[in-house]
Parts: sequence; structure tokens; C-alpha cells
Amino acid sequence: MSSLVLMVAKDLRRRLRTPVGLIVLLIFPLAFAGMVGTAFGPSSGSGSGLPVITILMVDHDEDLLSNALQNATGNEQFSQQFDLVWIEVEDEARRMMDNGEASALLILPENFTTDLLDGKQVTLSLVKNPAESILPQVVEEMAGVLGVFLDTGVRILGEPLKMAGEMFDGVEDDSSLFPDNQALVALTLQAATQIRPISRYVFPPAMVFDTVSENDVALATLLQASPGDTTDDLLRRQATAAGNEELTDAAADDNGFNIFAVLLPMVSLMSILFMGDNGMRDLLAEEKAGTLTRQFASPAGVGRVLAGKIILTLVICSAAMLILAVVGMALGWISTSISLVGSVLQVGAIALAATGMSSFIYGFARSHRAAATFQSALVMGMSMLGGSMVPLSQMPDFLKAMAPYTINYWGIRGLTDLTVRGLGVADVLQEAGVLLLIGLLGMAIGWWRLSRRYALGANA
Amino acid sequence: MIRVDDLKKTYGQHVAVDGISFQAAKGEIFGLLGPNGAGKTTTISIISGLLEATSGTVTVDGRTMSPTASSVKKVMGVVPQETALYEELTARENLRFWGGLYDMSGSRLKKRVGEVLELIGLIDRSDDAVKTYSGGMKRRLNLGLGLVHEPRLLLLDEPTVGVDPQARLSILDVIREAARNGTTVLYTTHYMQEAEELCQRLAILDHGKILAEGTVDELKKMVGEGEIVTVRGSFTAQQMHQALEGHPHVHAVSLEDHQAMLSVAGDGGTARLLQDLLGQDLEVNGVNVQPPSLEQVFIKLTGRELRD
Repeated sequence: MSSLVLMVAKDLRRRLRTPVGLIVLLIFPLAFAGMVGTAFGPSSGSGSGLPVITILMVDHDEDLLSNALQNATGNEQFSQQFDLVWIEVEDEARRMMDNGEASALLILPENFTTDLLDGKQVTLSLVKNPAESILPQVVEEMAGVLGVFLDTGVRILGEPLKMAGEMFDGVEDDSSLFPDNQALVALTLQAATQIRPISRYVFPPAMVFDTVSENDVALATLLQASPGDTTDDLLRRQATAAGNEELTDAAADDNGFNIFAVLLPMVSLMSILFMGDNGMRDLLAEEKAGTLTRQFASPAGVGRVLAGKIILTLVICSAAMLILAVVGMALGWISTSISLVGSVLQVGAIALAATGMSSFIYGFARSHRAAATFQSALVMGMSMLGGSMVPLSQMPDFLKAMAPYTINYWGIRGLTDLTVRGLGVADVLQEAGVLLLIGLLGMAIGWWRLSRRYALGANA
Repeated sequence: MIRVDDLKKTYGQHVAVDGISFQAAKGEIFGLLGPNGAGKTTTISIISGLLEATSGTVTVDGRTMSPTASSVKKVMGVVPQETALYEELTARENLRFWGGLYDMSGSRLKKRVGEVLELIGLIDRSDDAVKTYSGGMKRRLNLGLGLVHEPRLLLLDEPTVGVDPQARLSILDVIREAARNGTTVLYTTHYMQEAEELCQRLAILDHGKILAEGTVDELKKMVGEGEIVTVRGSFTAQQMHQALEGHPHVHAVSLEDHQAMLSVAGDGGTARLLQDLLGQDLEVNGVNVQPPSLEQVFIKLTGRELRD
């Protein structure tokens, strides 16, 4: 049996005899993702990762805009996230709030529509449930967006809306007052004129005309696109044409947003980087125990012993990533139909990068304490900047600019491309490439430093 | 079997090994005796390929040793001064790993592991984790790991340091057994008695140099063939020197104020010496008479005791 295999097998056997450290590092990402994911997870059936938020609405206006609001919030997508309960009597609504039956109460004041169209200041009252912390915040944010939306809408469409209000005034009682076609066309044209300059932003085009090449036409033909096709249909057919079956299923399965699929890669990256220490640390442990020198005196020599430790670190990191992935799938956090090739590539690249980082650190550290201190500082720093602790989208721009210099950034990006976006191997080539480069560079520098140190006979 | 020629190792200005040469034949137990810092471990490290010599050569079975000479390393067994074991693993697993590292495998390895466990007396505890062993058991296993691949040359660096007398005897027995089976043993120690008991030939090392080399008897003859008389009292080295000048039976091994170590030859030589000393107004408080030992050889060669 090759001495390398022997050395790695021996070290793994030793690890399994005292597995507590590794188990803790494995449990940490699962427990963290589980706790956070459960708190904001999709157990309620909503697709956003938050439970359905109950909002009590009291309408003292009962006019054009409040009616429009009622109709707009009745659509399916909105009701997946929010449960709007319209209450006629404000006291009843406040009693329900006192009983904790909703996350917030939103009150539309009297003359809401007319005041808004007249350009007067309108105040929406929001009562938040003090027993809840996050969900009322979401409602507050939503109310803020509604305010902006109404304000902007009135500025742009105020005139046509005013005209419409006057035009339809009294129509309910006397149908002969219904405006003629000419007046309706004039109203429509005025509204369209107002909307056209902002239409690109408010209503992103569902279809655009563009110049296409013959290849695109051929692809379209190959995909046999038809007017009834959904995006998923096209994605599936495109993937099939590219020979990537996994992509088709992942794209089709993962329509909903899964918070676990986002959290697990984030926390796993941090855990794997700490785990790299667990492998390379063995070098100093063996040095202290005297077994390292003894191996150097064997036919294996310095080179193979160092290679054994680096491979051990790689095996530990890879195994840990694999276990996390399998447990993630078993718990339903990760789709079982993600790209296998892409996952192997990305997981391998992350493990290699973690190994490279540890090899680099241990190449310079002369004691375990020094290595552990530096490793902790580096991992925490990279986790903070790279998106393991806070999603990148929540970070200020200057921190975002630093993210690409971390292993976490490329690791999380690749993993979420696979698990959340359902992409394939071709889409993670860049991420995996950067990680492989980091890993190989770290390993080369670490190897060089360690070879020099031990070849000089520091431990003889 | 092993030949060391003009071996030198320097660290900047410091000379750790200063041109030593010796050789040992197949099945011989050759000892390197010297105090701490004499250069024993450095010499063993160079021979085992852990250090590169500044100059000089080490040849084992005619092949030159170097840190990368894995074919030479294959025929060597190294037993370091400190126990170097995997405490989480059992004795059997330790032996299997080290045997495998020296290209042993399958039934041959399994058989040899059993033999070594018998030899070192750990067969009953072979499947217990090493961390549960006593210090003496660990020492024995430490030796067993150096023997598992049936090396032709066994390098032992003070393997009995801190070992209780019973475990020491057991270790020395295992080493003798290995030598009887044809293994050449290179043994470093600073225990005189151990070196006398075990080694067929010895080199006395100090400050990186070999001061003397030979069998135990040959070395002892360097301090004379009679008795060693140690005299203590209220005298100066100068007074003692004058008192002994021209004495027919005596030559001084070492002279200090209040203590003199003397080699006395001839029948009745010791009695005559004592009479002469008492007759010269030297105040003598104590006298110790012993046969010659390596300790006295070392004192004669270096002017100080080995424990210094």
C-alpha cells in the first residue's frame, strides 16, 4: 500500500477515535442554518422564507384609491405573503391587535383619496404588534413602499385620476351619466402619455425586439418554442439540448425561495475554513509527539509526510462538505437534483481552497497557538466580508468591494448558483477556478515553507 | 555494516560533531557514551537521515546515507529518545502502520506484528489504546516500532531515559535479542553501567569528538589494571601531588583540592599507598576502593565526571 494512503488512513483513524472537534464543526452549520431557517423558513407555506403576515386594515376612506388598494392586494402572489383582513370598525381592529391576532394594523384615513389627489398631505396610521419583532418591521417597510408608490403614482397620474373621478361621479345612480367613448379615449391617452416615460421602470417589457443571429434562430427552432411555453419549459429544453439533465430538474423544482439553501452554504464555508486547521494542526501535534521526526527517518521522508498531511486536510474538508450536502439534502434544504458535476467541482474547489489556506498558515506559524490565532482571525474576517455572516446584499458598498478577495465569497456564490439558482457546471467554472487557484497557491507556498523548515532539521 | 568517516556537523560557529569516525559490524552492539551535549543525538540524526552532515560520510552496507536515501532508510530502525507513538491507536495499529511504512504488508506484516508484541511483552494489551499504557509499556512499544520491519541496523537514542529498573532490563534484553538475530545496534547513552552491560564496543564522546574507542576492557585499561582509590580529606591538589610524586604503585587519575582519584597497581599497592599518605601529615577523612570503571575512564579523559 502506498505510504501516502497509509499515512492518511492512519490519521483518519486517529481523528475518528477523537471525533468531538470535527463533529462540533459539522453540527455548527447545520444547527445554525436550522435555527435561522426555521425562524424565517418556509414552514408556513409562503415562498419568501417568512411566515404569512397578518395585517388588519381599516378603511375610513372607501373611495377610489382605497378600493384600488383592496383589489391590488387581493392577488395570489401578494396573499402568499400577506393576509390582509379588512375590518369595518376601528375599535374592533384595535381589540384584535390587543389580543395579538395580527402583526400590524394599518388605518386609511377619511378623505384619503381626495386629499391625495388634491395634493394634500395624507397620514397613514400603522400600529405594530409589540410582541413581535421582525414581522411588524416588514409591514412598516411595506407601508413605506406603499407611501412612496402612492406618492409617485399621484404625481404622475393625479390629473387623469381626477378626471376619471369626475367622469364617473354619479354613474352608479344614473347609468346615462356613463362617459362616451371619445371622453374615455381622451382619458386613456392622457394616462398613457403620463406613464410612457417611466414605463421601462414601472412595467419592464415582457417582450423586446432584438437582432438575432442564425444560430439563435436555430436554437429557437431546436427548442421548439411555442407561444404557450413558460420560462421553465424553455430552460428545460435548453438544458436538454446542452445535455444537462440536472439543470432541467433543478430549474423546475426550485421555483420557490428556500432560505436553508442560502444559509447552509454561508455557514458551511466558515465551518470548512475552520476545519482546514484541524488537518494541518496535526503536523504540529505530531511534531510535539515525536512521530513526525520518526516518519521523516522512515523511507517516506519529509516530502511524502507533508503531502500526507495536506491530503488529510483535503479529505477532511471534502468529507465535511459531502456530509453537509447529504444532510442538507436529507433535510430537504437542498434539492436532490442539483448539478452533480457542478457540485463535485465546487465542493472540491472549496475543500482545496480551505486546505491551501491552512497550508499557507502552517507554513509560517511555528506553534499551534500562533496558527490557531491567525487562522481564527483570517476565517472570521473572510466570513464577515465574504458573506458567511451577513448576506452581501445587506453590506455597504465598500465592504462589498472587498468580498471577492475572500474564499467565502467565491464558495458561497458557486454553491448558491447550484442550490438556489439551479445552475449547472458551466456556471460555476469561474468560482471553482478562483478557489482552485487560491488553494493551489496556498498549498504551494505552505509546502515550500514546510519543506524548508523540516529539511533544515529544525526537529532533529 | 555501518561505517562513519570523519563526520562533521556545524551550526555557524558551533561545532556539534567534530570529525568522528567509527564502524560497527553485523550483530554488534556499539555504544556512543557521553554526557548531554556531547553530540550523540546529532550523530544519530545524521546517520538516520534527519540531518545532513556538513562533511564526512555514513555508509550502511556500502551505500551512502543522506536525507533522501530511502533505500538506506529502509534497512534502518530508529528509536528516538522520547516515546514517539500514536496514543489514540492500539499497539497493534501502531506496529502495523510503522511496518507498512517500511513496505511490509499482508500476512508477513501480521506475523511480524505478533512476534514483536510477544518480544516486547505487550501481547495481552495489544488491542488497547496506547494512551492507557504505563510509561514502561510505552517505552517497550517505542522500541518495538523500531524493530517491526526487521532492520539490519537499529539506532537507539537513549531509549531507557526515565525508565524504571524492571522496564530497563526488559528493554536491554530485547536489544540483545535483536543483536543475536544479526541486527547491528548503535546505542547512545550517558549511563555508564548500561553501556558496560550492553555494548561490545564503545566510543566515548565529548564536545563532538571521540576521545577513546574500544571494548569495555580496553577502555578500562586506560586507567590502569589495578584498583581505583578515591581519597577525601583536608588537602590541596598540590599537597597530594607532592605526596604521590615518584610513588611506584600509583598514578593519578584526577587531583582536586580535598579529593584525589588514584589508580593503584600491584599486589598490596593500596595498603602501601594509604600507609604512605598517613605518614605524610595529610589529613585523610575517607577512602573508597573500587575496581576500574568507565566512569574513571571518562574522568581520566575529560577531567570531570560524566554527570557534569
